[in-house]
Amino acid sequence: MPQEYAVLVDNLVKIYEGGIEALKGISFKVLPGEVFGIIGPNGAGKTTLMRIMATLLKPTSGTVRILGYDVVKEPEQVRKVISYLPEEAGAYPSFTGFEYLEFMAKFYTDDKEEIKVMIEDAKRICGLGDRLRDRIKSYSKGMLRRLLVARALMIRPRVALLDEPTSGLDVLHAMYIRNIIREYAKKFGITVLLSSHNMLEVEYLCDRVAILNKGQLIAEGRPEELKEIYSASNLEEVFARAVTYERFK
Amino acid sequence: MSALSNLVYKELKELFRDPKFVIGMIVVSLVIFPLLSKMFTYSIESTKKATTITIGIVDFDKGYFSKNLKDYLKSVPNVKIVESPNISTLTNSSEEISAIIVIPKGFSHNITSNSRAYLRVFTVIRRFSLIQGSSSASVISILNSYKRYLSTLLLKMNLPDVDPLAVLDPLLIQEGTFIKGELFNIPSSTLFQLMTMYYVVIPYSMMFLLIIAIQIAATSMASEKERKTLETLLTLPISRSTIFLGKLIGSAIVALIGSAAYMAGFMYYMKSLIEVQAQGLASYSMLSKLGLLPSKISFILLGAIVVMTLLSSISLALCLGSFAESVQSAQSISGMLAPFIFLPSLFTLFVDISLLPLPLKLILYAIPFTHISTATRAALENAYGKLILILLYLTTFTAIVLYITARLFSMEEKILASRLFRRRMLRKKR
Repeated sequence: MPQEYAVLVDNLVKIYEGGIEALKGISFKVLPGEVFGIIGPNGAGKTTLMRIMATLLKPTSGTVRILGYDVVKEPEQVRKVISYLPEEAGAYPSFTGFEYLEFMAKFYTDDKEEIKVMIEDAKRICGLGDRLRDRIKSYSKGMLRRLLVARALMIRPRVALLDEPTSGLDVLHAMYIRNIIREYAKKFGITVLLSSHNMLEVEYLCDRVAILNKGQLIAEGRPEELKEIYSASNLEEVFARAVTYERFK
Repeated sequence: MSALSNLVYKELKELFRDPKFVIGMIVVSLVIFPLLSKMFTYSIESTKKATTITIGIVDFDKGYFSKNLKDYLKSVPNVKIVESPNISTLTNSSEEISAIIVIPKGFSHNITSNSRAYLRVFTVIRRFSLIQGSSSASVISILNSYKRYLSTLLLKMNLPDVDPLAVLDPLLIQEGTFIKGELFNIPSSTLFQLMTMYYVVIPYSMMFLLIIAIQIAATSMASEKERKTLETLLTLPISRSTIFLGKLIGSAIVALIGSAAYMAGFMYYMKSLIEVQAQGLASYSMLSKLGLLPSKISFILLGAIVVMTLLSSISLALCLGSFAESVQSAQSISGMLAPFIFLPSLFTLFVDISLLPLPLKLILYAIPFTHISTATRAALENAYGKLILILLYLTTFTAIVLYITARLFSMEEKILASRLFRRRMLRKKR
């Protein structure tokens, strides 16, 4: 049965032990094949939201469904269809790039041919070439990030959850990764949810965006729509105005 | 299944690529022990070889028995005699003189007139070394054997009809030991020495195995956190229990390999020590002939107990290690477990637990590691009932710990951030 929504977030609340309210009842929907951006400053609740969607954290209340599967009730099903790239992620330093990719691919298939295709894909995505034969401990921060993005996309997940995918990358590599994300999303019909505090990146990449501030969703829509509503020339201005309006509500 | 083997393979690959682990566990065990034993045998052999002992003699007596003594010394193999009229020439001599014997005036007269004679012996030390010490000790032992020779000689001269041995050593003690009603012509002290060795070696090696296993298991979770690989691992399409099992099996395999290397080195060391002491491995076969070694059933039960103890301690360590935020704190957690492994075992080595007051007894029996030594003892006594009881207790204990740990692993938040860590974060945010 085709799903109407790839991701459905309904009235999501997360209160940490100690009373910190990270998410204060947010709701949004993401269509299949859409590239959806979640933007907001540091501490807005982006990573908490991503972690709940990735089945790492349990919400205090509200529901999240990924391709119809409830993240709390059916986490195993959710993990089969998602691929999650944490904001601060690492890899096993004693492994070579190839070994790491192979290790990860084996969780998704036993078929040697499929594993080969995945690794070939990853090689193209990360653009690391022969450096994949080297131990990961010799990689720079940017190289590691490219390897991890490749790991997340090579399995062609139905939903990719990318937390700050270009963090730590220089301008050129960030652009390269953005193009790859776009290309893979379109080519394989991957629904992409990415978070970023780089508004320009999101504006370029995403079909739709949601602006998160202090645990609340203060605006949602296509970048052009939002720019029009807030009469702004880019998403940064949209964000600044949305935050200001919110304060006077 | 393939996800599990993938995880186990990864754990093993990581550990065996860790130079700290490889050097610390395998190389040290396989190199240090043989090296120690080589050094030991070398030092023993070199003492044996270093052999020509030069003894300086200052003879103020010049009588029959001073000549007799000098002749005796000359007849001892590897002894060289240097004579001089005074001590100072000997101490400054270019020859490596180990000791100087001064035979005072009246030495022969005292002996012939049935009085006690005396000698002065000076050790000459040029540099401090163990060999030097042993060569001066051997001078004394040569003189002691001369004493015996002299006694025999005097007895023969004074009492020609008496066997000198009947006077010098009039009582011959022949020791025997009854074991379970059967007589063996072995002194009991030899038996106890051997028994103690097995009592100590088996629990000791097991303690070592447990310490490694606990360290590996406790740090394996923390290192996933430290390298920030845990979050990714937890979102893969594998169950929490598979991740847990992968770590459990990985740690167990590595602990077994590590301790095998350790044991190989250790046994080699022990064997060469025994060989040097000329006891030989015959003692082992002797023990088994005496029925003082575990039977096959005891061995199997003991093996099962070892595996259970290993599993329970690994899951305990995994459980505790999940709360640690860094490898360092995981190491201190495993350090906290170490006394629980060593103390009961050491305690049971010296104290009979069954004689202790009940509360203390219960506490000791509740600690799974206590049973390393109680089980070894029970196995040596072939007490099957006791062994089965221990096995049952350990199985229950392991099952409970495994259950708790598996539950803990399904509570992601507990693994992702320890409470302490989160509190610290919250304080920062405030």
